[in-house]
Amino acid sequence: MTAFEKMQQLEQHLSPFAFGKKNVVRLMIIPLLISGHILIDDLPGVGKTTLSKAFAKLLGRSFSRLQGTSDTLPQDILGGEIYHANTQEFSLRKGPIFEEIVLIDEINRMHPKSQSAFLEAMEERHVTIGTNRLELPAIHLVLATQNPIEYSGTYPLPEAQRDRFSCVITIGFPDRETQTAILAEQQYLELDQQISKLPALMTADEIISLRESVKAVNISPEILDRIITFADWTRDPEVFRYGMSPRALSIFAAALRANAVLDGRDFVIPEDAIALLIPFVRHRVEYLNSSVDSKGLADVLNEKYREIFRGL
Amino acid sequence: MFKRLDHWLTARGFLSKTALTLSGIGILLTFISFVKGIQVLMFIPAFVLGLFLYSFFDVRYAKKLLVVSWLNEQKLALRILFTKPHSFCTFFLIFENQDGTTFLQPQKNLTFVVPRSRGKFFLLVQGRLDIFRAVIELPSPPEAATDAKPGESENGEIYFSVQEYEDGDELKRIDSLQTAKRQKWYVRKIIHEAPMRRPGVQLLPKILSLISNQNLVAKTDVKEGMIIEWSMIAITILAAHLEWRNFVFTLISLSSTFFVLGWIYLLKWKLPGRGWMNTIALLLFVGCFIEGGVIRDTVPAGTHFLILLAIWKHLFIRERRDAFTYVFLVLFVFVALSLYTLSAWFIILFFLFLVHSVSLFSIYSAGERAEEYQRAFVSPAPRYARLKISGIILACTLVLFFILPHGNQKKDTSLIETGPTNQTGFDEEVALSDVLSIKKDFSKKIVIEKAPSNRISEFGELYWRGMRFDRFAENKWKKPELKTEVFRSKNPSAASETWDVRYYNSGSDALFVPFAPLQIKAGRLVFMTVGADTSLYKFTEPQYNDFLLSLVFAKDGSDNLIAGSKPAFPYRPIAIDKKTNELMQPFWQSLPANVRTNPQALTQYIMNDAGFSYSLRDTAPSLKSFLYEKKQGHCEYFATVLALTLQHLGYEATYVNGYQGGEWNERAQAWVIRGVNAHSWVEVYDKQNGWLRLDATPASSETFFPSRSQGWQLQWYQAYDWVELRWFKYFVSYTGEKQKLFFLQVFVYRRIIFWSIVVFILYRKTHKPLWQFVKTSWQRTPVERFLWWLKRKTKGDTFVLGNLQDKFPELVTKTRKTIFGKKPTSEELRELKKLWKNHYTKSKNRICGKMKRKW
Repeated sequence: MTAFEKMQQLEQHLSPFAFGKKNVVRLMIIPLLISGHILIDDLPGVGKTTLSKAFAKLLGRSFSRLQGTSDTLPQDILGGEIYHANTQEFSLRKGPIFEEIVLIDEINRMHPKSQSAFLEAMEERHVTIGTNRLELPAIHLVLATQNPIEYSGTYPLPEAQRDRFSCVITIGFPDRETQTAILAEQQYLELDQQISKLPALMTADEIISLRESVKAVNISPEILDRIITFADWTRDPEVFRYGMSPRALSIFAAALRANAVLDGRDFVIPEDAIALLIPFVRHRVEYLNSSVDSKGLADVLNEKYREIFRGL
Repeated sequence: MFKRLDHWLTARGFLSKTALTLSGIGILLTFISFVKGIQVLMFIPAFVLGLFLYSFFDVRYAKKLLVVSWLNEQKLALRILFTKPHSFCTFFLIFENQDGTTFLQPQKNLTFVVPRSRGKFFLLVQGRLDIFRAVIELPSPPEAATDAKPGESENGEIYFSVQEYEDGDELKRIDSLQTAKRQKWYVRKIIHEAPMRRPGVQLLPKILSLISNQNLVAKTDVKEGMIIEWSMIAITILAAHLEWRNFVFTLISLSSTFFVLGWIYLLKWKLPGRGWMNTIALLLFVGCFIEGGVIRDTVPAGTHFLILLAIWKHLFIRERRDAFTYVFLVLFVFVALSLYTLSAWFIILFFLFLVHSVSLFSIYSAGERAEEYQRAFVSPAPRYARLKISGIILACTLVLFFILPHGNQKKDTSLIETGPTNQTGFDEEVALSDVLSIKKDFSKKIVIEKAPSNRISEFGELYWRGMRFDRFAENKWKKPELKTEVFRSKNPSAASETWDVRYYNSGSDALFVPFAPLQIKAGRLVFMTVGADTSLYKFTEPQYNDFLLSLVFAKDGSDNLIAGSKPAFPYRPIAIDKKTNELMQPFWQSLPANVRTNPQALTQYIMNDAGFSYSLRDTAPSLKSFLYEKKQGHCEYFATVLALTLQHLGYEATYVNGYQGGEWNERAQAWVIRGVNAHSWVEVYDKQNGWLRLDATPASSETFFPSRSQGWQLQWYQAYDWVELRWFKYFVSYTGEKQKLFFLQVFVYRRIIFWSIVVFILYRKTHKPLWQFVKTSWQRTPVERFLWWLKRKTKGDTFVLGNLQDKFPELVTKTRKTIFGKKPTSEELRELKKLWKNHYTKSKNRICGKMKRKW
């Protein structure tokens, strides 16, 4: 079984945990292929944590879970040097961040100083504790969840931290049929058992080879040109407070490539961006008109994307 | 037609009621302008059209930027967005079903929460000037959302709904349009009642604490609106004051303003109701009626009343209709003033008024009631944006003024003649201080607007003759008994030249001309030709207007007064009054013998040797004092002494009043003669030389206005004259005939104008999609050109191939692989084109074939 076929299998296995939303499953996998990180931003009870746990289980990677609380400290995340009284020496204790898949539940409950502990790890893939610089594993995915409706007792992620996440996923409510099924079969209570039964599908080498195939995907110069035009538009100071950074642009292009790979293509088509545009771009720009909320911003971005790609 | 108009004006129509009012005013004033020949009034129709044009394009532009989407996730809502920030629009969602019409207001982020019942939805887009509206019929909301019970509205912010009339409803809330449409009484029921007071302006902190209401909408727009209203009142009072220069009037206006305001603000918690308001308005009217009947003319009093009414209205602006009434009241004041005055002051104030009214319109069009201003706009409009609209509309007004058809009335003067001003002067008889009183007036009297350039150097030498007198009695000169031809053009058949001369409110029936014209023309009308009495020119009644005359002179250029012309009537010695004789005798006896036979020598004697000196300020009170006591005086005394002496010596001598001198206004290219230049001199018939002009007044530079005649003040006056003369030339006398000439001039440049318009339109039309296409076409890759071709072929839009995927899945996959997989060669592309052509035409034929079979 090739890596690609395994990946398709992974999609199939994962989809029940996303209430059959293929789009969401796809968005979970793409950051894995482009060495990115995922932030799941949605209401409580739509299955954020379950989905993340199932995903980690299916990948078969080492996994750690961290609950965001208001007194979580950077040491709890990164680890630290511990003093041993009997040997009179310091020894290094690694924190949960050193696992391959790190699930951070309710990241916005953490204090900003703890949130910023992730900055180095997520971007540069190493952690400095004291004077030691420690490399993180080759496959390292941070999966964070947050709840958008609470304000008291939470600390919204700062822009720099938001920018570290390559995509922000909104799961949304399940449709009528899925809800009927959930209620009829009473699956909801048994989800944890189901997760424990899931097989581990991927090896590290397979994931790395898929990453190599993503790099080989061709983007035609026409599409690149339009994407850059789009990024330039988001940098227009009359429309946006701030626009897409070069990092955001390169991550977006990589995501388009990964999407093509998951569709079994070795080239990018303009339609690839339809599902990717909002999760990969919206959290990286801020509209000038404050009366437009994030939903409205999505409409504006989609509209402009269509306008720029007119004729392609 | 009326049915259609009614349809346009309904809630879903694209016109507002303001549009109807404005066009009514425009048509009315066009009519007045045509009938009365006041070309300036055409500004109002032009202004109205400018407003219409702006509103039309504003709404179209807003519609272009609009993105409307139904949200169907948590609650049924409609969201409005702009692809560019656009702050000049308000929205209403109109919901219509069998129960009536409901107007919904947007919530804060421009979302409408709509009632969950079946009906039709329309989006009303209203520009900042609510004249034109765009009404977009929306697709019905998604099915799932309309499952809920009908009539239930979930947190819906309903602004007002139109419902059937019930007992106890207020009559003023009856909605005429819905009533007419449905043949039943319908009333507007406001769900959210707005607070009934407005924020105060921070003029006086003490009053502020009284007038500012904490619960009020603290919206800067409304505050600015109040400031604009205040300055409009100030402008109006200033304009009226400048027209009549009557301090009593201004005092009454100002004091009544402060009185009314102070009274209202101090007693604000006991605001009188509607009945009281009407009573006070009636009292104001009665006051002004008495003022008009007793103190002065009806028109100034009427204007005064309008101003007071505007001030009164200003206190009660709460709704849009109040703001409009206010603007129109002030507009009527300006129209009334324009009947009186056409001075440069008026122009400046009039334009200020136009700017202000645009601002006011744009503020109050936003919502019908005060609370709406709070969330009417997408984002608060920057102040410069309002100035920008005003600028655009004023530019439109100017252009339209020249384009709109003008009446062809000859009369280019103002409509109503003002009463005599307090100056005396040139009349049936003159006292010896009358010219002096005119010399105290700095206003313009005569302006030579156009004359042959070789004559400019002579202007300072010209004597503008107006009145002649030959009998002196009781210290006054009286009209001549004799009808004497003084001068005539030497050569009437010679080539002629034309001078355009403008005369200002002279207050007399005399026409001042420098020498004998062959013709005097007003427009095309010739009212004097050679052969009439050429001694003097008179109107049948005193002139209080400004008017422009064309004087036609013989081209020989000489001052043809006297030059050899002989009196047509026999000489008759003039009997000097007995008292005058007694008064003058001592002076006559003292005359040296050599001056008694020579008029010129006598002039020199009086000017230099008789011991008289020139003085304007310290002048002799009477002729007696001038001759024997003070020996100081101005031109009138010198001319009187000379004329009386010549008459005593047996000459036919007349005393002449008029103007002499003036100044050249370089900026306006015109010669300006002011009241300061009034003068008196003598004309005498000498048997050898014919008629002679004798001026016995010694040269002097003394004036009543030493500072105004020099330095920056003179500069300022000249600039003012320049504005006024341009105004007269291009606006006041812009009749239909001139318009024809204007268009003929434009016609000369028709090619340039045509092509520039074509280029402009092309640019406007294409500068976005096509222009970009042209600009980038040379950079286009073969793939883009291929896709462009495919797009046109299949009438596709964005994502050309994605849209075709369902129809031709294999072909699309193949095409994608070819064009996006790697760089395609031109041959591959050509093959693809062929494939698509075949497929597409085949599929088309298939469909058409089916259709044919069906038929």
